[in-house]
Amino acid sequence: MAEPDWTFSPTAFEREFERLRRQITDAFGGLSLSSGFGGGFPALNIYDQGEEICIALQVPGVAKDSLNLEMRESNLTITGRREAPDYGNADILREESLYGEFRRSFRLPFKIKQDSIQAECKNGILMIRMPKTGESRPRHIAINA
Amino acid sequence: MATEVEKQKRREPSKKQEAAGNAENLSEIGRSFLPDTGIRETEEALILQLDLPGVDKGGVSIEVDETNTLRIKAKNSFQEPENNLFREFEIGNYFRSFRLGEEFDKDNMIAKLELGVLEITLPKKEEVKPRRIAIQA
Repeated sequence: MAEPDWTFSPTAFEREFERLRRQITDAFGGLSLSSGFGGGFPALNIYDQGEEICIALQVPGVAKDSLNLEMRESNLTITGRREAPDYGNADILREESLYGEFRRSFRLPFKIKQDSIQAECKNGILMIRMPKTGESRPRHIAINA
Repeated sequence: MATEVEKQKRREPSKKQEAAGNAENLSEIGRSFLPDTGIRETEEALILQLDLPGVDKGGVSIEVDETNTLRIKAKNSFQEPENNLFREFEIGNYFRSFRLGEEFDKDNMIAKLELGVLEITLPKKEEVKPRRIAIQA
C-alpha cells in the first residue's frame, strides 16, 4: 500500500555490470547468481587457466566423504553436507554458519577431459581442476538490442 | 549471559594500535575478514567455532590478554589461481575478537583446527559450575 520512498535507477555502469554477469552465468548455464546467502551456498569461484578450468568452493566443516562430484555430459553437480556439531545439552548463543545439505549444479561451456578431472579438499576449500579438451561448445551469443 | 561478542571493525584495530602504540602487530594481518562464528555454552564450558577456510594449523594465533579479550588471527594460505571468471568469495586473512566473562579458565583453553574450522573450548572455572545439591532424606 505504501509507496517506497526511494526508487532504484540503475546507472549505466550497473547495467553494464549486470549484463556481464548474466553473460557469464548464461555461459555456465544454471549457475545461480548470489550475493551472500540464498542460491550461493557454498560459495564458489571459477578460474580459467587456459588449459584447465578451476573451481574453488568454500566448504569449512564439510566431511570429505559427504562430498560428491558428478559429471554428466557437460553438467557438473556438487553435493555435500555440513553436519552441525553435537555438544549434547548446549545453549546456542550465536550461530552464523550454515549447516545441512547443499547442491550446486551447472553446465560447463567447455568440453572437459572427464577422466582427468582432479579434486582436492584441503583446509575447508574444495578445488576442482578440469582440463579442457580444446574443442569448445558453440558460444551462446547474447543479443544486445 | 556468558560472553559479550564484540565485532571488531576493520578500522578499529589500527586506531587502537596508533593510540596505544602497542606492539601487537595487527598490520601483519592487513585487510581481514570476520569469520562466521558459532558460540555454544554447556554447563562445563564455552565452545566457539570459527569458519576459517584456507587456513592451515600454522596460520592461527589465539591470545587472551589481561582484559579478558580473546583475539583470533588467521592467515589464509590458499593460493588462488589466476584469471578469475566468477567470484562469490574473496580470499583474505581473518580476525575476530571477543570479550570473555570472568568465569572461564583461560589457562585451560583448548583449540583444534579441522576441515578449516577452528574450535576453541573454554572450560568454566570449578566454582562457577552448577552444583548439584543432594536432598537429605
